[in-house]
Amino acid sequence: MQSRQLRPRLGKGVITPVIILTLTTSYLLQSLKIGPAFSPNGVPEASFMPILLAGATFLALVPIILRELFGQENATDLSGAPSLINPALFILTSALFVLAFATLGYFIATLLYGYAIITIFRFRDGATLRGQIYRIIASAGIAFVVFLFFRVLFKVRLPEFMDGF
Amino acid sequence: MDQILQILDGFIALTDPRVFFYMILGLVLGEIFAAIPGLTATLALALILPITYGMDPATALVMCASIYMGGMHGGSITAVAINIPGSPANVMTAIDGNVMMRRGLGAKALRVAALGSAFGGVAGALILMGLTPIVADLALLIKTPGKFSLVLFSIIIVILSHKEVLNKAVVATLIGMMLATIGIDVMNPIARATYDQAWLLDGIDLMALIIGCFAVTEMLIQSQKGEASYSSHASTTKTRPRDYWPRWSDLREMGWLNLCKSSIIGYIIGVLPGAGGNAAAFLGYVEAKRASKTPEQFGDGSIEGIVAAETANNANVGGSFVPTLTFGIPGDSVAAVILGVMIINGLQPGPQLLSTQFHLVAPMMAALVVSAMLLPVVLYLGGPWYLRVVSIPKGILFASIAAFSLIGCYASTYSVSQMWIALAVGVGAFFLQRNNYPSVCLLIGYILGPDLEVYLRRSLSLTDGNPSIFLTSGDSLFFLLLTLVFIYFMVIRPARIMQMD
Repeated sequence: MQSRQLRPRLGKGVITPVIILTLTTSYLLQSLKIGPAFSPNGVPEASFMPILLAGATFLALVPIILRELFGQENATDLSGAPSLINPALFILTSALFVLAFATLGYFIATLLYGYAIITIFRFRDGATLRGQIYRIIASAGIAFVVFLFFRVLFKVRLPEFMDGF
Repeated sequence: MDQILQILDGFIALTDPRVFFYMILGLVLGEIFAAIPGLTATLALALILPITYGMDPATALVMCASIYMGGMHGGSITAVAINIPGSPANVMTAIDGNVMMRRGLGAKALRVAALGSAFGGVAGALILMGLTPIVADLALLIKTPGKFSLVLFSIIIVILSHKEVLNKAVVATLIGMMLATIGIDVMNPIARATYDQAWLLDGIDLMALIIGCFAVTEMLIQSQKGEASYSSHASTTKTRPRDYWPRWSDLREMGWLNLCKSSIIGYIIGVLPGAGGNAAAFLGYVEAKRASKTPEQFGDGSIEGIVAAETANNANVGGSFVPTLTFGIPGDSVAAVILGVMIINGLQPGPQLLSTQFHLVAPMMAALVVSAMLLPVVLYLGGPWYLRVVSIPKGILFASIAAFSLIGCYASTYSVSQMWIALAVGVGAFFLQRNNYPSVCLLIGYILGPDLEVYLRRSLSLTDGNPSIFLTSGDSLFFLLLTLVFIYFMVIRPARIMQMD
């Protein structure tokens, strides 16, 4: 019975602390390159705090990882968590928007971005012509309002078509 | 005396039509963002952050203060009307408010909530005005080791306020502190954790971090839920503007003692880092119930309960500015973003700010008072409209916020790289939040990390690395002991009581 309880289980909850552990290790290796943590007279140097922080993160991660692997009660329960499809689409769309922003210019990029986000949130029925028209009008409205706010009200120069080339 | 005159000048500054416009804009934005479930005053502040570059610091702070004040009240509207608190600070209001709504007394519940918020907001702001100069004078007495222990105390208290996920709060704070170390060292011109990338030499910009943590993350969380509207609940609520205008009879039912006591509770909770408006509302409510002649009405449509919760959470606003202004220590996410606005606009919160640049902070304090007084007016004018705003399709709302937040990053520096950083931080913070790592701890760690390091290294350089200075310096010892007291009462004692039960 005891051995069954101690058998590790690889749930989704362990992924995040392992990623943090990996990134912290990389950060620690970078920090060690800076130089010694203390000067010869014992005063902390530039690498002191990063090394201390990385060490503290390792210590704090140990119980989290152990709990995710062996714990039943306090482990992160992601079984009921919503699907990641929409967030993934949101991230991809936003990344494409940032790429398009400097090249296609503000208006085209924001119009397309607005349309994509509206579609992700399933605003109106996308299968009907009327739904598509609503979506296009709404995204044009968003692009116009954001333009009014930044360009007209706060005089921010927004990129125009092919500005990035 | 000088500071009293500067505060009066602060009130006069609000008569400038431009400043007044931004105050009203902030108040309405705060109300709307808090009223819409899923949106927060923190998000509203994160979105206006880029445009504060184009304002003078005093106006920017006026707008922030009114967003904060409006944000603390706005959530009560949906709490009462549709039993969905716009923010955690309005959970207690929903308990009694929605019962009243179902009995056809919704407008009355909203009226007393607004009056309580106004009273608490004004009281908190007035206590802030009265006490800040005194606290600032005391703050000047704290030496470097004491400052280290004070910052450490604040970080630990913020972590302890997430005691249900204590280890994860620690990790989130440490991640924030590690992010803050990227770039040039705080004391020497040495690059740290830049991975030999020139663009990382400037470090991670605070604004990109705030927009990433609070705007991008929120969009990602909301995108999981898809389109959802509260219109079905809201459409059943029919009210007229005059239903929202305060009446003398309301004031009698609210109880002056209840108002005063809840204001003091809210203010004190606000001063403590990490506690926030929800703790203030909860404690105000519990105390009102304890002292009430009709405790059985609590949970069944008690006016006293609504008033206590709303008064306490708005009084909390004034209190939360005390550590933010006097020590540069934000107590919650809203205060952290306001601190970010100050830093981005070249102000360094702390006793020096209050002694040399009080004229920049005075309009903000005045705005806290005036915007709190305007809460019943805003409810009167906008009451019937709020529920329609809540019914805005999420697709349009979040597409607008996504565009505003990413373009806002660009607008502040004209750099697309800031958009990338905000997006990357947002994705990281989303996955942390999804796994219960509190992103507010990450932000607090990012903001307070550099201070902690500077005070630690300066203190140790005074003693050639001997850490006993933190125990021999009186102010430092005081804050360390205070930290232990809080750890005992917030972690050890509750654990013992649970074990005994």
